[in-house]
Amino acid sequence: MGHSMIYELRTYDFKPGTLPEVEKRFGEDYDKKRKKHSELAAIWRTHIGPLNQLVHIWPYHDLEERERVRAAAYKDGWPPRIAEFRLGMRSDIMIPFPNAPALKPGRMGPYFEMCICTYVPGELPAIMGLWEAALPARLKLGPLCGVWYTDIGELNTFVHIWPFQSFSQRDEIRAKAGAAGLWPPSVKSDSDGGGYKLLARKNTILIPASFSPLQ
Amino acid sequence: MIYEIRTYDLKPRSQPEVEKRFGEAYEKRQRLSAPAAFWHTDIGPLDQLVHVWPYLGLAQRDRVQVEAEKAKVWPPDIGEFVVRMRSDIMIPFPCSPELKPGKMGPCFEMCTYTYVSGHLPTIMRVWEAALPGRLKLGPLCGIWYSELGGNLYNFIHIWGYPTLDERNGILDQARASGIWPPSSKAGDGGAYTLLAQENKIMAPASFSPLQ
Repeated sequence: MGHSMIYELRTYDFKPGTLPEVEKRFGEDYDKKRKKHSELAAIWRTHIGPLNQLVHIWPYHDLEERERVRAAAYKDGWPPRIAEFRLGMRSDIMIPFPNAPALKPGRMGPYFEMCICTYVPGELPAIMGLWEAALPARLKLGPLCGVWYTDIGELNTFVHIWPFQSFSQRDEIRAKAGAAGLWPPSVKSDSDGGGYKLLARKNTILIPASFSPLQ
Repeated sequence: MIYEIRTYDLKPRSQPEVEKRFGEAYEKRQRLSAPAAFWHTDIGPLDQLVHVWPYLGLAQRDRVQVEAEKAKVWPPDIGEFVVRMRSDIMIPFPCSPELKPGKMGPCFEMCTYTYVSGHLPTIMRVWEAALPGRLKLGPLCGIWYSELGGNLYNFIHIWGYPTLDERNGILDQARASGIWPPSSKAGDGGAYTLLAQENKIMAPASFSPLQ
């Protein structure tokens, strides 16, 4: 399968209490100055996890397109007028797993769970193989937004994002998947000598900004 | 009363085994002094145990820990699974309820806020004034500030909810009616500044006195 997109995952930390104004300005400037050059895949604020954070995802065909698009957007007055509220920024370039769905506009949430796993260096091929094998059964219970590994940024991590409509639905899917032994992919394979080694895991719950193409 | 929060980061996937070993050792340990709550994380940093121990003071904490080690009842043998451990000593706000055994969950939200040095007295005053309105919507487990440990200028508050969907309903309602969160603006009881906010969702271990 496979596809050629890369995703830039940008994470901004803001001063507590400023996010409503930040989202307003970001949305206005995105519409006026940025959207015509290339569109966001999604923009979220954190709901559970590190708060006062925006997580936004920009798809590009490659890094050259990214540079070209950003240079053109800067000429139009991008970035948005949010610097006074911002405490920190980071950017990670993510490559989709071969079997990952593409992140498309639409209605999948309103809740999104972003899981970030740090793996032991060298484990990525095993992880991708196990995910590819386990994913079809898991997808019957509910969709996946994407699963990507870092190419630039915090290395040896992979990120997977799952949408859900309510927390009871999240519990239900997890209980079903766990009981059937079809998820997480690694647990099943541990017992037969496969599996992969992780160093740390964390997750955050995200909610889309009003202007996010993915809701 | 003081509370010791112990936060253990574990190797991924080892939490069920570690919790089992804590559960086996728990019976003898709780005769010396009982924990208030024993959780693992569900959303936030995963593979983490968070346990809270109430003491009358640091002298009691020292005494109990020495006794537990001497009697070889505690800690359980979990060293192979532990990546990192931290201990924070927390002091309750005057308005904080006492953390007692009972049923408040099974979803617990722990919020950790970092404030600007010197702003704690204002925060305590403003939160105390806002709390009665918020408590009509659901219970607070505790609100404490950090006294010893790595991160000073922190305060944490822990809330119990039957489900996370109910949590969202309560918080939406509180925000819409202006009951909560407490205002940080001057004129509403005093200005204070927060530097960072984060939260995590925790679920109780089977042997936790608080469920």
